[in-house]
Amino acid sequence: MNTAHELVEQAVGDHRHHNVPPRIREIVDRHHQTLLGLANALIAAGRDEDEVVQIIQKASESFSIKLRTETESLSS
Amino acid sequence: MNAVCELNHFAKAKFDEPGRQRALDRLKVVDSQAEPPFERIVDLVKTTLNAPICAVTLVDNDRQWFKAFRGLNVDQTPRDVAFCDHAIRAEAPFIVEDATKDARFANNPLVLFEPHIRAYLGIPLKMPDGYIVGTLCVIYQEPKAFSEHEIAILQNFANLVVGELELRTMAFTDGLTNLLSRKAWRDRVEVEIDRAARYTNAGAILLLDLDHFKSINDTYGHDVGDLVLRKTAEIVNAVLRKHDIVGRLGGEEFAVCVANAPASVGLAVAERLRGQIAALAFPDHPGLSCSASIGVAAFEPGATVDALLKQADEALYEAKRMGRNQVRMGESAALPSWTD
Repeated sequence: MNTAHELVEQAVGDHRHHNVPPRIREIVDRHHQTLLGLANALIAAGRDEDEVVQIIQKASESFSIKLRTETESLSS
Repeated sequence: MNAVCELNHFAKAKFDEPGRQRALDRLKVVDSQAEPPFERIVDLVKTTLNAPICAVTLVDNDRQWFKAFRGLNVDQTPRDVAFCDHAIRAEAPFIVEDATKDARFANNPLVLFEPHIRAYLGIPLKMPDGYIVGTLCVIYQEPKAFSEHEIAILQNFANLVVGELELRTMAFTDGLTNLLSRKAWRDRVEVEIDRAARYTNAGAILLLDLDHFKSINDTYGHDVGDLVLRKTAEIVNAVLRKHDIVGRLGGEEFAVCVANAPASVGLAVAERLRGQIAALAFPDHPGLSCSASIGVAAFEPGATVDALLKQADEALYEAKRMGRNQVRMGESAALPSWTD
């Protein structure tokens, strides 16, 4: 059985951000902690792993797109 | 504090209504268009918690306004009937298992009539400054007891909403001064110009440039230069009305849109800004003073934001040429101004 951490990695593995400006780093870290918290809460509520991964993916998708746009605009 | 409360990232909460309202105003989110991140979250919450009604609610002066919602027919209600107002005051997950059996809500119109609220769970949206600006809530039309797991799930979704609000704010905010960025300022002024054209309202654009700013940076260093920029931003914010639009266009250049006011008001505002910037004192940096030159352009029928900026820029150049620390009105185009 996978841990919440592994499920979050599985869900957002392609969306991890590096070289993020400092003022956004804190938000990114909190976002990641929230995804872990959400995964834990879903597991505790008895949701199966596939469903957890799917929910985490959807929950993080817009954030990742917006973050990428924002990071690009700040570095330009 | 129970485990659910500890899930919230920001432990410090303050119930200070004026400060809370200012925190909400700083987000510039009320009455904004629908945005995918918030739409996605309410969809996920609705599905995950099998909730017929779900909303990201922002509690404004006298109303609750829904940034994103499912299962409701209106996008706002008066604040005095809002369950979410109780939730933000509770500063913790707020639960009503059966509103018809709760004296606080049994006669509430939202219980007696549409949307017939019976059970409610609202999680306060607590921003990093500790202020609670609204809630993420789910509503059921049958009585319901909420499990710890359900509360924890909604709490984490609420934390995601807070992150989205922060990122959204950052995308249009200049990091140094917290004023609007160039792009965000332009976008908002374009909307204002369109509105002014529809209602033949007057308005003015002010372009403000700090004088000899490079020499401040060279003499005192960039930290002091940044301090001057922040102090300038504070003055601009203090002088302007809530619905005026102010941004930092870049470097030492600021722009203001004085909305729904004749050009004479724009000129008066510019003069106040100039006077207050010239009076800035820096006790920790003896000898440091600053001033600003300002160009003003009045709204004209058919004028775009670029045309108005160009006109204000020409006036600004004239102010610089005439010796700086002054205000100049732009040359109006051939078209008549709307009102003055």
